[in-house]
Order: sequence, then C-alpha cells, then structure tokens
Amino acid sequence: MNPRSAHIGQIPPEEVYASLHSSPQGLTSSEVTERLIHVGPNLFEVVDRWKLARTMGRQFTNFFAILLIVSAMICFIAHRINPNEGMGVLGWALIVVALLNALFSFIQESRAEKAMEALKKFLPHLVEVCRDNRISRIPASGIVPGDVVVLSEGDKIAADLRIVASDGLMIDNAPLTGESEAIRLTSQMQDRGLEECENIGFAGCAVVKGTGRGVVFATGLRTRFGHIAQLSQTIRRTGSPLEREISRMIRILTTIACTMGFSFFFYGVVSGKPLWMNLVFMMGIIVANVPEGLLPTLTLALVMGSLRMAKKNVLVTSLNAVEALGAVHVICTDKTGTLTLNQLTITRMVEPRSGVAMLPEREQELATLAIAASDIHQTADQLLGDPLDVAVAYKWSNLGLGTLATVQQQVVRSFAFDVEKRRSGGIVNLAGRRLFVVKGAFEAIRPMVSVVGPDKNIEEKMLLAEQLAASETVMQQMAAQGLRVIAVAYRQLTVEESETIPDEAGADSLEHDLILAGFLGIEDPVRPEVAPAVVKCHTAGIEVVMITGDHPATALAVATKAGIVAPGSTTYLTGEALKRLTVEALVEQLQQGVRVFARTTPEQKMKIVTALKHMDRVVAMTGDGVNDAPAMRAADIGIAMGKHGTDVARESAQIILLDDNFASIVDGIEEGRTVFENMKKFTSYVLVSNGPEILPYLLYIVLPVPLALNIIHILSIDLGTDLVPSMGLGQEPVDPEVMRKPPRNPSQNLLTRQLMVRSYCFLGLIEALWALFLFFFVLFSGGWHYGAVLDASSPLHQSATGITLSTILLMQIGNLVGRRYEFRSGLDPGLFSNRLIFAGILIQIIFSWAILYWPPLARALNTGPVAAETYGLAWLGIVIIFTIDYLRKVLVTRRENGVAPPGRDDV
Amino acid sequence: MDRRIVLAHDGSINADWVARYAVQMAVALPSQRLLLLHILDGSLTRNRIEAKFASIAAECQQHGATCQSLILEPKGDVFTSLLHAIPSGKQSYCLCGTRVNPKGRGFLVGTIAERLLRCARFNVMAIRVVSPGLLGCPRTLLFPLAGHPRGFEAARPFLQMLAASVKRLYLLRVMMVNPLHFRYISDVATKKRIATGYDYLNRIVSEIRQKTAGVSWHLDCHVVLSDDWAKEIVVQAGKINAAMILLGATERNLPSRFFYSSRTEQILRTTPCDVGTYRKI
Repeated sequence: MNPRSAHIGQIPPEEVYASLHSSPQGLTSSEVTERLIHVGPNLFEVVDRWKLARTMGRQFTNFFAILLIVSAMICFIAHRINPNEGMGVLGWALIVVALLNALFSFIQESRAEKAMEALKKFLPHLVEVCRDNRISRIPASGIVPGDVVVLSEGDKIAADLRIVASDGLMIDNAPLTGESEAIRLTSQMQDRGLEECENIGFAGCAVVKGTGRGVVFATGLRTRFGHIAQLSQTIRRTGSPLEREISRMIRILTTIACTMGFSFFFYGVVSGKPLWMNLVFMMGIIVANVPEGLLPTLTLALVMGSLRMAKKNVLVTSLNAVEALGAVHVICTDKTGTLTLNQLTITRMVEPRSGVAMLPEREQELATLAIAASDIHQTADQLLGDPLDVAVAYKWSNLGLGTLATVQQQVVRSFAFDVEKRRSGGIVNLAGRRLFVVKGAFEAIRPMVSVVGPDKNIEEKMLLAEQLAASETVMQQMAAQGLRVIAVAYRQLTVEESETIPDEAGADSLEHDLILAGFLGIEDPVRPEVAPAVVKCHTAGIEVVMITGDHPATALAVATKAGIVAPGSTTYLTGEALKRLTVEALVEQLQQGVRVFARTTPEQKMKIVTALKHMDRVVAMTGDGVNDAPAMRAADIGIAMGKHGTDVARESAQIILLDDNFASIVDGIEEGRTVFENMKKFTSYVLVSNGPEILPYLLYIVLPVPLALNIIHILSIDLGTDLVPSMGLGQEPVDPEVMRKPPRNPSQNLLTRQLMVRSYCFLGLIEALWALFLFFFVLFSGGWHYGAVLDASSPLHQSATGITLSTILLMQIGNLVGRRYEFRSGLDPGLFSNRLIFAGILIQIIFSWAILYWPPLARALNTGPVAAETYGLAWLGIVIIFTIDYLRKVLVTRRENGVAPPGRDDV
Repeated sequence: MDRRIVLAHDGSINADWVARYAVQMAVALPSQRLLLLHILDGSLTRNRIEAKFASIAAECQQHGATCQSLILEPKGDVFTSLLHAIPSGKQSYCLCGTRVNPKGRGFLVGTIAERLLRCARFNVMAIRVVSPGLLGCPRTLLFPLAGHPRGFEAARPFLQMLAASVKRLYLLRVMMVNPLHFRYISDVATKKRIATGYDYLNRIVSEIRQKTAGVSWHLDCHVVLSDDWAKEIVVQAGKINAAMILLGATERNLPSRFFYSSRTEQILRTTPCDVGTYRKI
C-alpha cells in the first residue's frame, strides 16, 4: 500500500481486497458473522426505542399540563369534601382539556418521520454478493465491510463500495450530488478526496449502465447516504420562536395563577375560613388567571394562517412554521427553478469576432445551423429533448422561419451530444449545399476551427490566431454576463464526404476546417416576480443569500438581476473557499456582505446555516435534493420545492413551495408576520377578561360579600364566548405596513409587561368595576345588605351573577373592537369587514341575553333574569370601555409623537 | 526512553483495522517502532495470529516503521497477561480495539479495553473502527472537550501522533443544560453559556496552535447547548463529516462513571465514524 494513501480510493484495485481483509472469492460465513456483530447490520434508521414515550412524557411535564392536572386533583378533593358543588365535573373537564392538549401536541411532534421512508426508496432490498466463492442474492441489511458486491444495470447500491472491476459502469449520483448526469466509474486508483473519487459507488445511488464489482467499505449510517439519513433523523429542530414564546407565556401566567391562588388559600386558612371555601377560592383564582382558551385559539390562528398560505402556493407541514416564517431574518435560496424559470432561453446571438449583436438575417442563418445540430422531437403540445436544444428550437420558431418539421426534413444525420467531447452535430442540406454543423462549448470547438466567420464589423485581414483570440474575448465577455455560451461552427462537405453518411463514430473524421458561425448566449431567465420580491425582502429587513452549484459569474449575474446584490458587485464565495473557512471566518464574510455562494455542494449549506445561526439569525433554507435534507432540518425553517424537489426534501421540510417560486416565500413571510401581529391582538383581548374574573374572588375572600362569578362562569367565557372573537382577531387581514418593518427581535415577547398592565390593571379593571357595580346594584335593589349571607341558589344571587356575566360579555365587544388596532379606534375598517369578528359580536350579544332570559341556559349556569333597564346598563359598558380605551390611545399617541401620524399602528 | 506503541491485538477484525491506526501513529513517533502483542486465549490459533501479524508487519515496512511481535501464553486472564507484557510508564502507548462485549452489553463496558483504560499504568487508546475504508487516516477529527481546566493536555500526545493524517481538527464543546431547564432556557442564558463555551475553546485553540506549531491542520470550533451531550457529539460528527471522534475517557468517581460510560457507549453504538477513546496517565 502506498504510504500516502489516505483512503480506499487512493489504492490500486489489486490491493483493495487485502486492505479490507477480503478476497475476490468474497468473505466466508464466519467472517461475515464476526463483522456483522462488530459493525451491525446495514441499516439506515437510528433506533430510539424510547422516542415515543419521551415525546408523550414531555406533553405532561410542561407547566400548562401540570397546572391543569393539579387543578383537576384539587377539584376531585373538593368534590370528595363537598359532593354537591359539581367540582367533580370540573375536575374531569380539566383532565379532558389536559389530555386533548397533550394529544394534539403529541401528534404534532411525533408526526411520522416520513423522511426516512422516502430515503428508503433509494436503497435496495436484495443485493447480489459473492461469498464463499458463490454469487447469491441476500438482504441488503446483511452486507458488511469486505463483502464483494456484483453490480449490474438498474441496481441500487446498498453500501459504499470501492469499485474493483468496471465494464462501462455508469452511476447516477443524483441522490448525493444533485447532478442529473450519470458518471462513469473506473476501478483505477485516483488521487482525490473520497467524495470526488470516480472509483467509489455510494449507497443510495443507482447503476444506469454497465456492470461491475465493488468491495464494501462502509455500511449503514457510516456511508455517505447514511450520514444524510442520520442527520435527517437526529438533528433536533430548534424550537420555533413561537413555541418558545408560548412556553414562556404559559410559565408566567401559571406562576401568577399559582402564586395568587396559594397565597390567598393560606390567607383564608389563617383568617379562619372553612377549608372548602378556601379550596373553591383557590381554584377560582387559578382558573380565572389561566386563559384556557388561548392555546386552542393560537392553534386555530396558525391553522387559518396555514390555509391562507396554501392559497399562495406555500404548503405548511408544521403549524409552528407559519409564525416562524414571519420571524425569518435570512432566506438562503437555490438559484435554478427558485429564482430562475429553470427554462433555458437564447437571449443573445452575436458575431464571433466583434461580439456585436447579429442582424436578423444572420440570426436566421445561425439559428438554422444550430437547429441542424440539435436533437428535438415535437409532440402535440411540447418539444422534447435536451433543454439547450429545446431553447434553440424555440428561438428558431420565434424568428418566424416556418415549422420545425421543414428544417428537420433537411437534416440527414444527427450526432447526439457527447459528454466527453462537449458537443453535438448534424449533417444538413441547406441551399443546395450539404453542411456538417457542430454546436457546443467554444473550448471544444476551437481546435477544429480554421476560419472565424465573416464579420462586417471588423477588419477582415486577421490571422487565424488573432481571429480566435478575438472570439475568445467575445466568449469571455458573454460568460462574465452570466450567459452560457454556445459556439456554432460548420463546413461544407466535399462531394466524396457527401456520398456517405457516417455513423456516430464517423463524425470525428468530419471535425476539421470548420467555420465559426457565431455564438449563442443562453440563460435561465430570472422569474419576473423575483426582483420585486427581493426588494420587498430588503424593505422588510430580510437578507437573501443565494447558494448555487453554478459558476460564480453566472451566480453573480443572476443575483444582480434578482437584486440580491448591487450591480457591479463581485463579492462571492466559492465552495472551495468555504471549505477552508472556519465558522467564525464565515460569519465575518457574511457580516461583510457576502450574499452569493457559487460552486457549492449541498453539504456546505449546513456550514452556512451554522454561521447564520451563530449570528442569531432566524434562517430559512430552501432545498430540493436528498442531501439538502440535513441543512433544511438544521435551519429554523426548511423549505422544499414542491414541483422539482425529491420526496426526502419534501418530508424534511416544514414548508413546501408548490410552485418552486421565491416570490411565494415572501408572500408566506408576510402571512407569518400577520399571524404574529394578530396573535398579539387576541392575546391582549383574552387577558382583559381575566380582570373581572379575578376581582370577584378577591372581594369574596377579603369582604363578607357573595361570590359574583363561579368557576363555570369563568370557563364559559374563556372556553366559550371568547373563542370566536379571538379567532376573528386572528383573521384580521394583512396590513401593508407589516412588510415595511424589520423582522421582529427573537426576544420580542408576545406577553409584554405593558400588555399585561394594560390588560389586567386598565381594561380588565374597567370591566371588573362596571360588572361588579351592576352585581351590587342588583343585590342592593333586591334587598341584600352588606355582610348578609346569600345562598348561591337564591334568585337574587342568580340575577346578580347573571348580570355580572352578561356585563363582562358585552364589555368584551368594546374590548374586541379596540384590540383591532393599537392606535386606531378599530371601527374604521368597519365591523363587517371581518365576518368572524361580526359573528363574535353577535355571539356575545346573544349569550349576554340568553344567560339572563333563556331558562335552559340560565338553569345550566345558575343565573337569573334582571330588569330590562339593568340589562340596558350592561350595554352601556360597551361604550364605557371602548371610549376610555380610545382616549388612552389618543393620549399615548400624543405623548409619543405629538400628533398621531395617519396609518401609524405599531402593535 | 523513546515513546513506543503497543498494539494489543485480540485477533478480531476490529483489531486488524485498528492496526492501521497503530501503523500510522507509530510512523509519527521518532522511534517509528510498533510492538504487536497477542495473548493466546484459545479463540484463534497461533498460526492465524502470526499470519495477521505478518500482514501488519509488511504494512509497517512499507511505511518505514519497524515492527516487533509477541504472541504469549496467558498468565492468569488475558487482562493480567497484558499488564505483564505491556511496559508501564508514560512512554508506553497501548492501542486496542473496542470489541463488542460477548454478553452484548456494549463496546466498552466490561471489556478488556475498559480495564486497560482504567488501569492507569500506561497511556491507552481504545478504537472502534466502523469505516475501514479510511485506512486509519482520519482526515477530519472531531475533538469534543468537556471543559477540563487542563484543556487538551491529556489528548496532546494522541493528537500529535494522528497529526500527519488529520487535515481538519474540529473542537466541540457541548454546554450541558438540565433537560427540564433546557426547554425553558432564555435567550440571554443561552448566549451566556455559548459565550463561555467559546471563551474556553478559543483558549484551547490558541494552546493547540502554540503546542503543535508546524502542524498544518485547519482548526475550527463550535459550541452547542444541549441536554444530551452524547447525542450532540454524534450529530456534530455527521454534520462535519468527521472521520474520527477523539473522546477522553472518564476519570470520575464510580457513580458518575456509571452514567458517563453509558453515554460513551451511546456514542460507540451510534457513531457515524471511527471513535478513539483515550486516557493519558
């Protein structure tokens, strides 16, 4: 073995067997057994027996679940002490809420890992191996390092192999490299890195042609494909900003609820109140403080958001991605198909020496020659063939030269594109002459050229070398503009040559003394909607990073056209440079404005994600290939291409672009930001009703007064009447301002101190005071006097609690309208502009009436009727809360800005 | 006395693959000497072992190193025999394989490799090879650090011996957080811990640069916050396409060792690349 050999690809084929302790006859069964025990079966799944149990356990160990379960326990204890108060029912209700919440989250989290299923499609079930000098088919899971695998056309490769014999072996490496062109594998040693060696067959790839033999050197998760599989399964997605925010919010509200509940429980015990009363009180405080309906409303808002996104071709597979997309700071996007149309188009046809655009008649000549060297098949509705040939055909048609069939009839022979020669050709009869035409890369055609075509724009008396140098310059200039340059050359065949039509191999003899006819400039045009979308991103403070495998010049040209970089920018990083950079150095490069990564491999996306996350950015990463899956999982948001993406990419992503269009991502971001803004609105709305829910309990414990609201009343608000209005706020339309602000700071909270003070101590207090005023108004009007004990089932108490509940419901209407805008009244867009808000208002009105005057509901809630005038006073509450809130908005606006600028609404 | 590598070869295929590392590491020493050692425990015949040793010796010769072999009858059990045969002291480096425990309990727990790591009579590196195609030349090395004040001192000789093969040395610090706290940790606390991790790693990077001057490896470092360091190491190894993980053996007390070794086992079981577990005396 060569001492410098660093891996199996760098040693000669005859030494491979010895290096892997194998032989051409294959392993013996005892060797197989030993190796199987040591390295394990050739499996690609990461086994985690406890994953489901852990996921389920997590659902019952969060603050919210613990709170609900503890509350339920207290209810059951209370029910045991005093069975007539219906606390048992409440306990079961809380258990059901806890279970439903846990079940919902569990389903979300443990959504079957379909990515692995998609990956498995690339692997074979059976493999042909040589063992004990016999060839047999065995399950792919049973192969071990040292096994000799026999490969033939159509086989999928089960493990990483060092090829030791090859007979025209062509492998499709697309699952690993994304390259659609098959590569020819050899058995000869190569002095390259393992990944680049063309004597290695990688697991997950397929044999498209030929036969061969390979010796296994890595199996299962140790193969290159296994690395992708492992990362796709084990990389833990970072919790979305919303997940973190919700858990923080729950933690705060739970802490407040429990602190208040237990404090006043002990106060009650110390002040000598009965245990039963203290327990009821504690439960009331806790239940009143926890907005039980908030989590379902948040979920519903996300569902609604995802449905709206779907209409914009953005399919969401994980609900949290809806909001996370709105929080994105950086979009890392592919080029082909996402920024561009993935449709090659000839945009320039130039003279070969001067580089001047051709005149129409010259364009026609060049197009006709090019079509003679193309291989296209026309069906009823489309053109089939190599994308470059199709582009030539479209150009030819656009020049109005007739039908394609007419020119194809004159083509007597086509020579298919040769990967190694980098050119295609054809023989065509044109204007009574028989011409041999070649079309391909200039470097490939240049050695055959003896004359560079006539050019009116330039002096004719030039030496061939000068002519070619001029053409080289033209070609370089076109390439620098991001164009793919194709040269077209031809020559008239001699009489002798015209008599015989050569086969594929015979074309070689014709390739000399060609006349360079011109250059075709081909590009994949940038989608028209991309540039405005990028502008929108920049306005919204979102950076766009382009990652492509293309040449830097092409990448920069597309990035400039898309507006990702300024015209004239030459800042980019290649994959090679990226490989040499540390993460810290890459961070510096990104900070200095590198936005284009060219000649990169999908694996390098991971490094870019790591660097961006190091910069505290929320990253969205697009991808379509199998090997994009790990980077998409590592990013905050993985975005897969729906049209051209692989199943693996789609299953690894949280978002699928149905039209592969970059502009759709931006639409999704707008929607995501709107969802967050709306969440703030309904969180604020929901918390306001906590004020009038808590205050009656505080009065009840410190003063000799009846309880104004029982726990069922609180739940009827939180889990009943508040739900539809909250959903209405969650459905508020997109505000154009939302994309003129920078992305929200990840530390910006849904639940701020300001919001809590306003909800509990201002709006909540107003609601509480007016509701309690009417409660005592009804009590005093009914003959109750301060300190008197009033039975909960007495009609007077029922009427008083009825009006309290009814007032809260009605005042929530004023609160609802006010929450639509931070600084505007909320009436300006009209109450009918949002159907759910209108429905919510109707529900509040109907319930406020029904709990007083509809006996079945009144019985269920233990409420009773009041005089119509008193009910009228409850309606006055709407005006009170709305007016005072609006005055506050005006004052705050004036204090901050003097006068409120029109349209200002920084929620 | 010169440093010397002793390969404790148990006759298994893993030991054959570990021999590649032994040869590469022996070549890196000034003495360029390798001692092959096998205790005959009845599992393989002397002839079979001799054939294996001959093959390793040929490889050694190709690399310009000298090789000596010793096939001994056991004196007591295999472990005791190894202790007798391997010279004690700081200059002695014992390489062995982490072979699957016959009782199926793991790759290290209860094995001779584990006892060698614990005996503290010579330096030990136990290697599990899962990618024999790399021929003992790990190009990318993942080196997780637990935050020990001694930094990379314990790993220094092993790193130096592997330096000829390693092109990228990737330092990893996993900042541990209690699993319950991990779910609720704030951004501020996260950043603080990450910064602490980077402070530590940057210091180690400077030390490595200083103490391995002349080695042209590409150094990079990364800090992650996690509630499961073993899983994080495996994930990072996959992310950087590591060829080997260099893991320090625990020097802790018995109860923490119980938990620690189960984590090491987790890495050995699920590793995407070769793993070297070292202990320097």
